[in-house]
Amino acid sequence: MTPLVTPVGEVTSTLSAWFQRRFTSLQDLAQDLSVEVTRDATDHLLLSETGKQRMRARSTTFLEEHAVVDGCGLIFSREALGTGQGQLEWWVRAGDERFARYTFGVNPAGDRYYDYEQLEWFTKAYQTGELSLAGPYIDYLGVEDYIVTLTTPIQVGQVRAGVAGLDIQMTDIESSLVPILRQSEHDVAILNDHGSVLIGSSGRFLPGDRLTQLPEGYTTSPLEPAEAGLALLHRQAT
Amino acid sequence: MRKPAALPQVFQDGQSPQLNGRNIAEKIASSISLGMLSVGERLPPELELAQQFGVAVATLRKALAALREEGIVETRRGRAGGTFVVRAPFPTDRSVREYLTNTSIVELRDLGDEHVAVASMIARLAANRIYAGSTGRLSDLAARIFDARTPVERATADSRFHIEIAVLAQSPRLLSAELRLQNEISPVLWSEVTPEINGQTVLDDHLAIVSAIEQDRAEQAQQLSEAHIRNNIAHLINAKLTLGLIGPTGKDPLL
Repeated sequence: MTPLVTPVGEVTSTLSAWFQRRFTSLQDLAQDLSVEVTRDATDHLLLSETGKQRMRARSTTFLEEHAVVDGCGLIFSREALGTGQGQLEWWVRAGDERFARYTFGVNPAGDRYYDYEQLEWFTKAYQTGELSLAGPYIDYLGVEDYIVTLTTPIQVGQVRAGVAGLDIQMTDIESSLVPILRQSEHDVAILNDHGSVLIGSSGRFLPGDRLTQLPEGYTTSPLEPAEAGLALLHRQAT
Repeated sequence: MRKPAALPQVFQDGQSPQLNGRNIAEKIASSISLGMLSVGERLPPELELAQQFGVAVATLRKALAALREEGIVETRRGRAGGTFVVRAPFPTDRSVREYLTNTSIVELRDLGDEHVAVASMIARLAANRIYAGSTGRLSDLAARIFDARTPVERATADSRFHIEIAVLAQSPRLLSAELRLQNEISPVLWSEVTPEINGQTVLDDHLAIVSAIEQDRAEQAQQLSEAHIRNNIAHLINAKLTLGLIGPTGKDPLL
């Protein structure tokens, strides 16, 4: 009998707790930010200047408190906005203890239009109404980094208005999670819901590589929260 | 006797218009560490080098002085005089550790992705473009890794082999990309800091690539190169992780 089960179980629960904390904090943020948004007489979204200021304060505090998070905020659907243009209220790190609102190309006719309503991080949470994790992906025309994005849907006046999200850079995913994965005796990796490697414990499973089938002798164990679709790939106990 | 230096491509860098003595010294040093100029070889005359870099002779002399100070070249007077390569620069253990600490898994994977793209197409083109008799040196260069005794010799032999395939592929752009990639990867791969790489496996890989190229099996040459480079990159990532060289983030993972 090899001592496999306990270590893998421990790694799985440590990882689940890590992701669960990220999503819990995101849901709190989503709640606090979306109360600043209201609807006008034509039922379109309305965001006052003072509301924006409170959102900025809450978002920058969030970034201060969560060192692993690179950017956070709200992203609205054009349908809820009732305009032709998209809108993102997004804050990012701009150096040590400095934060900035990030501007995106929101004009569909523009050369650098960030068509976020087509992107997985938006569609998953917006369409299913559940929290989601997308990535790793290169956020071209967005923040232009290699990142993972966690999202959760937001409601304004009982109607879905868009999503709240947070970005984590892949380098930070790596430095936070590799030490946890390395506690396992054998090669392990976190897979996303497409079977792509988020991060692995060795050179065998590399970020972004999609596994078309499980390697011989390997199995997966789901991580929490279940909606995020993550799983730990590990050796089958014999 | 090897031919005295058809000039290394590394010297012909059109992308750096503002070269100073320091940059030039680094370029010369990197072509030496890559085996484009061997220990014992004479550098081209000062005037010729200065013209190639597009700088004044005085600037070039500054570069040579810096290299002399580092013990990389020596200048001898007299009829058989000139500036000679006396030592191939190799990164120190500390700088290899620093490199592995500061380069993330994703960055190493990405370096491997680029190297696979470049080197596998080079192998494919080489197989398509060689002609009878043009691959003579390739088997010799492949075998050199076996005779190499020190990390520097191994790194140089390994690079030189891959560069020769790029020469046979006849694409100056791909050659230049291969040079840059070899310069970054090879010293780290062969450094004594990283767990020893299996020389026999590398030799077998090299010889398999050579026979695919020689036998006009372009597809196979491409696939073998890809697998060879992916193995090297996995070795680097495992070295980073085994040595615990995970970048300092200053961030509490629990946050």
